Formats: sequence, structure tokens, C-alpha cells
Amino acid sequence: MLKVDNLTKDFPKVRAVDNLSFELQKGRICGFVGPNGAGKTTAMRIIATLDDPTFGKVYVSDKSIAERPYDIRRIIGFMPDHYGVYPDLSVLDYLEFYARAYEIPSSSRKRRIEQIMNFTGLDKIAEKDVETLSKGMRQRLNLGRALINDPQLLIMDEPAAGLDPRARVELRYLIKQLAEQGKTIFVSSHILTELGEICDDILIIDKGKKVAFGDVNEIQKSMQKTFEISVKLLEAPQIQGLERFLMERPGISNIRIKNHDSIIFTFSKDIAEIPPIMREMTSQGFSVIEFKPQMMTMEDVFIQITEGEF
Amino acid sequence: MIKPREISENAMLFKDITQWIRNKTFLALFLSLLFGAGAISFFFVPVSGDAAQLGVIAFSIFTIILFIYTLVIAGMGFNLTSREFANKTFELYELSGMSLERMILGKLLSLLTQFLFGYFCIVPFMFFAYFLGGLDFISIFGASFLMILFSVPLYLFILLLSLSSKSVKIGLIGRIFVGIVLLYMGFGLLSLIFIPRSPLSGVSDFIKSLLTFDLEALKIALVFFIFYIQLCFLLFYICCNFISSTNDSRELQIKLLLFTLFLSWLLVFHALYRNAIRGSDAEIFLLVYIPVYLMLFLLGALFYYHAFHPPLIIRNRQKEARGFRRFLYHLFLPGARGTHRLILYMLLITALSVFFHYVGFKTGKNDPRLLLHAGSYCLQVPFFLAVPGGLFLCIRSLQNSNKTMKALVITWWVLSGVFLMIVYGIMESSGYWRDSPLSNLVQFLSLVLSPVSTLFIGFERRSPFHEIGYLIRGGLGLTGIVFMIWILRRRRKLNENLLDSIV
Repeated sequence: MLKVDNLTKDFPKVRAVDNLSFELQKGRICGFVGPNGAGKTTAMRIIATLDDPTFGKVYVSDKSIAERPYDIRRIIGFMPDHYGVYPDLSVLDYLEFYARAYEIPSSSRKRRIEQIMNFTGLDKIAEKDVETLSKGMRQRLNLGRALINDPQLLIMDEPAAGLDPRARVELRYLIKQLAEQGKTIFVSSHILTELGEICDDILIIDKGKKVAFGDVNEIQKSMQKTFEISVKLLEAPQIQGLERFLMERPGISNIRIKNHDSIIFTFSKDIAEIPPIMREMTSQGFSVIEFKPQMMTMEDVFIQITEGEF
Repeated sequence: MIKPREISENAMLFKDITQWIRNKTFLALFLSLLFGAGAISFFFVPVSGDAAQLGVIAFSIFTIILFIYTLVIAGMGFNLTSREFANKTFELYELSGMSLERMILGKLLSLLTQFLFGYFCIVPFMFFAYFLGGLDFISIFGASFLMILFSVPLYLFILLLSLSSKSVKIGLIGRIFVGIVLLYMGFGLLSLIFIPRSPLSGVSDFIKSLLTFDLEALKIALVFFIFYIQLCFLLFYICCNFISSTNDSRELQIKLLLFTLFLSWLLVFHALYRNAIRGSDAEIFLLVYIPVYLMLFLLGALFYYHAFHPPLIIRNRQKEARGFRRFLYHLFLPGARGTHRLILYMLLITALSVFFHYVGFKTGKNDPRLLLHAGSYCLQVPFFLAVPGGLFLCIRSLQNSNKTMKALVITWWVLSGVFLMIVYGIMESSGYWRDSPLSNLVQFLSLVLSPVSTLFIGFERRSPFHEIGYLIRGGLGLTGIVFMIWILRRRRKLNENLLDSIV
């Protein structure tokens, strides 16, 4: 669906995007992560056909953005980090305007606007002035605009920025629904935990360069060198025995007893070796009621990657 | 060709009209126009007096009201469009795949609709003035038609100003400029209206001549419409070019229109008014060559320091073009190289025009050197385009920053020109410095540093350089062409690697 090949963008004093390459399959949600000034917005603007690359090629549905930008604009939806200004325009008029701009035939325009308003929950505020909307509602409207042409690829630049927790949850739900409809979504965000929850793939960049790209789980697994595992026992007196048991096992360190019935330790071997330890514990007669390996969050992955590389 | 359905479906027209109707000022404007015009009419009915004056005064008052309304619409349009432009709203419009032409057409049609709304509120009252006496029907019809005619370039000009900069500060300067231009136009209109028998009778006589198929009147009307249409299209495409993102442009259309305007201006003078060329060098320049001078500068300012290579989409369009379109792309090639070539073509045509007039002047009773003086101003343009722009290219940080280069060159023209004019003005007003060597130096610098100061000081007859002015300007022009070739080669070298990698 989206293929980026050696994308580079130079500005007079800085290389904003540096040989970025990746490919995104249809129907996937890809999170785009990087520190401020990493080149996320620049890359997204190029993919959305708003800027020319200095080098490199970008294809959306096998069409080059440099050669067919007008065709590509019809099949993508872009939610930039700004809304524009629309004084004296209601929500309904705003959507009507963009439906006309996308040349949606008048026969189907009304139906399409209704669909969008229902999906985004804007139907209750159809007559409200756009300029008076809250940040969350504006973001819904922005999403509605980007969806009005029923795009195959949706590009979202920091859609959750400035939203309150409730609006963020609602937005996440909408994104999941869109993915279920088969749309490919390329979304950048600073809120990494949210991306971890909704994304299939993740692309991490720093100083314009790709640092990591791939399936979220795969990346998390590959980055996870150690696991914090907590074990809770039903019978507290067994805790000393469990401590001794763990001390004899290779790859286990930093064992701490907590609240007389729980134990936390660090496991520094492959994730595949965790289940045998669990099985052995139960076979040795320890009354395990909780066995919880702590997986790395997206924040941990991001910090580890960017610290390691730079 | 634009289809009526395309107009009714135009998204920008829909949006701007919806915004205008929802705006609080809409009702206030509508009621003020209607009640204001009505009250004035009621005031005039019982007034007795000179019938010849009453109609003219009533008509003048209605015209002023309509003019103020026109300014209000222009101001509102400027505010909305400049805000949209400054806040990157046009980017969102572009993302929808709406063409640049549709956006500007929608904006223009919206402003014209708003204007016509007020116009049709006032026009019935204007015709009411006919019954007060002193005016004939054709005068009223002609004057009201002229207002519609001038509203198109006015609103295009307003759009162009509102799209000329994303910077809020420059936007403020733009607002002040718009205010001054509109006030100036307003005073001009008022003075015309209150000069007895000047405009209305002139308009009336002209329309009567047209209706009787008077050849001279038809010729004037034809010439007027040729330039009017080209100018409107030129303004239209400059607006389109201003809102285009970095990967698209309307450079070809603007170059084509500038060239046709340039050619038609020279042709009209050669074909129709060649024998009318009289007067001093300054008068000949103003009569014949100032539009040529301005067009060369407009071309240079817009595209000479533009990106060396046009965006890829333009190059693809060029590759795909066939037949006449291919020829157009060849002649008006977008990018610095094409601009360079077009400027040289235009200079060659200007030189031929000067030569042609010069031969005519020689055989007549006029001093042919006056024509050389006037024409040589256009031939000096390459020098101003190349110097100091070429020197700026030596600064590393400016080498790949076209916008900064362009801004620096234009700032140099304006600031150095204004500075030299002020210094020269002070010297002229003081007896001590007048005709001193320092004054001569300032005059020389005025000739070589800025196109602005050249125009204002170059025609000074007391200048020691006046007699050989055309030789100096011709020499500088040739030097400029050499510099332009050097600049082109330098810029090509700087961009060589870039282009290879993009393609």
C-alpha cells in the first residue's frame, strides 16, 4: 500500500529525513515514533504529496507521489497537526465543503456526510460553529475531513496531541474501527503506550534516520534482553524455598522478597525459557497463584533503541 | 471552458458564500445599503433645484456608497484569505485534489457575488437618479457597467495581496498597502465624479460612439479588452502560483501571459499608435516602454531566482506534452534556465522595437536620441537582475535558498533605490551640494545600483550622464547578460547532483 524508498529531505541547513525506507501492507496500523525534530512531520508531508523529496521515491498503491500527486490525493486522507481557519462555518457546512472539494457527486454527498458524522459522533453538533469546537471535537472533525473521500491510506500526524484522556480513548477506538474496515493507517504520536496498544507495526526514527521498523511484538521481543518476573504464592512459608530454588537456576539474578508472599527476580535468558521454569516451580510443589513476566512497554523500547544508537 | 455546473459545484464558492451569509456583518450591510439608498432617494425627491445638478449629485452619492461597499467586501475578502493562507488552510484544500484554478476561481466568484449583491441593491437607486434629471440613460448604464468591469481586476489584486505572504508582519504591511491603494482609488473616483462633465459624459460619449460603430472607439475598446483579459488572467495565475505547494507551479501560464502582454503592448503601439510617439525621453518611456520595463522585472522577480529546476510534476507534464503544448513548454520552459532564455528573447524583441522606432524617428522631425534614452532603460534590466544577485550566490548559505535570494534582491532594489533618491533629493534641495562631484557620484550610483533610482534620477536633464545615458545603460545591459550567463552556470553546477538523484 505504501512504499518508501531512500526518502531524503534536505533543508538549507539540515537533513530532515535521511534515507528512510519502509513498506506498509494494506490494512495495517503503523505507528511512527521519534523525538521532536526527528523528521516525522516532514516525512508525512512528503507522503501526503505536500512537499517534494530531495531524493528517493514514495509509492502509494504503486503510484509515485512525485508523478501522480493529484491521483494520490484522491486515495489518501491526511490529518496534519493544524486545522486551518474556518470562521462562520458550521460542522455540516465544513463537511459539505470538503465533500464538494473531493468532487463527491451531489447524489451521494448527503449520505456520505451523514455516514461520516455518525462515525465520528459529530451528528449531535452539526450546526455548531467550527471555531467554537473543543480540541477533541476539532480533531474528530479533522478526522471526518480526512475520511470524507473514503481513503485507502490514512496518515495522521500527532492526532492525540492536546487531547484529554477521554478524547484519546475515543480516538483510539475510532482508529481501531477504521483498521477493521481495511484501511491502512500511518500514525505518529508521542504517546507511545497508546501506539503500542493499537499498532501492528512500528517505525522509529531519530535525526531523520530509521532506527527500527517492524511488527510491534517482534520488536518488543527482540529488544527485550531481560524480564522482571513477579511470582506470588498462596502459602507464604514457601517463600524461602522458592528463593533457594531460583538462586540455583542459571540466568536469574536480583531476587527480592516482597510482602512475605511474593518474589521478584530478573531473568536474562530467552523468553522461550520462561515456561519451563514455571512448570518446574509447580512440579516442585510451590503454590503459585500468580506468575507475571513484565514485558517492555513501547517507551522502554524507544528509550533503549535511541539510547543505544545515539 | 468553465461549465455552469462546475461553478455551482465549486467548493470554494460554496464555502466563502456560506461564511459571508453566516457572518454578522451580512445583515447589517444589506440593511444599511437598502435603507441608506432609500433615505437618500426620499431626501432628493422633494428638493427643488437645478435639475442638471440634482441627478449628478444623487448618482455620485450612490456611486460613493457602492464604492465603500466594494471596499468593505475587498477588506473582508482580504482578511479571510490572508488568514487562511497564513494558517496553512490552503494546504488542506490542496489535499482534497481541488485544482489551484478552482480555488482562485471560487474565491473570485465569491467576491464578485458579494459585490453584485450590493450592486443590485444600489443600481435601482442609481437609475432613480435618471428621473431627477441631468443624466442620460447611457451614462448611468456605462458607469455602472464600468464598475463591474473594474471589480474583477480589483478583487484579483486583493486576492494576490492576501496570498503574497504567510508572514503576519508582511500581511500587516499588505493590509496597509491595500488601504492606501483603495483610498487612492477612492479619491481618484470621487475627483472624477465631481469634475463636471468629465467621466460620465466621457463614458456616455464613448458608448454612443461604439453604438454608432465609430472605428476609433471600436479600436480603443478592442485594445482595452485585449489588455483587460490578459491582465485578469495574469493576476489569476499569479494567485494560483502563490498558493501552489512546492511540488507544483503555474510558472508556464504566467510566463506565457507576460509574454503575450509584452508582445501585444509593443504590437499595439507599432500597429496603431506609432505616429503618436512624441515628447521627451521620459514621456516616450512612460508612453511606450514602462510596461515592458515592468514586465521584465516582474518576470525576473518572480522566476529568475526561483528553484533552478521546476518540480518533478511539471517536468513530467512537459514530457507528456504533445503538439502545441510541447511547443509552449519549450518556449516558456519553467525553471531558471527557461526564465533566463525568455528574458533574452524579450530583450531582443525590445531592442528590435527600439530600432524600428528609431528609424522612424530619424526620418521624422524628432530627436532620435530621445528614443534611445527611453528604450535603453529596458535593455539595462539584465544588469539589475544579475547584480548584486550574482554576488549573493557567493555566500554559501544563500546558494540553495531561493526564497531568501529573491527577497534579498527585491529588498536591495527597493532600499538602495529609496536611499539614493533621498540622498539625491537632499543634495538637490541644498545649493551647496548641487552639481558637486558628490552629487555626480550619487547620480552615477543611481544609474547602476537600483532600478528604482534609475527611473527617478535617470531622466534628470542636468545630469552629466544624461547625454551618454543610453550608452551607459546599454553597456550595463550587456554586462548584465554576461553575468546572467555566469549565474546560470553557477546555479546549474550547484543543482547538478540534486537533479540526478531526484530523477
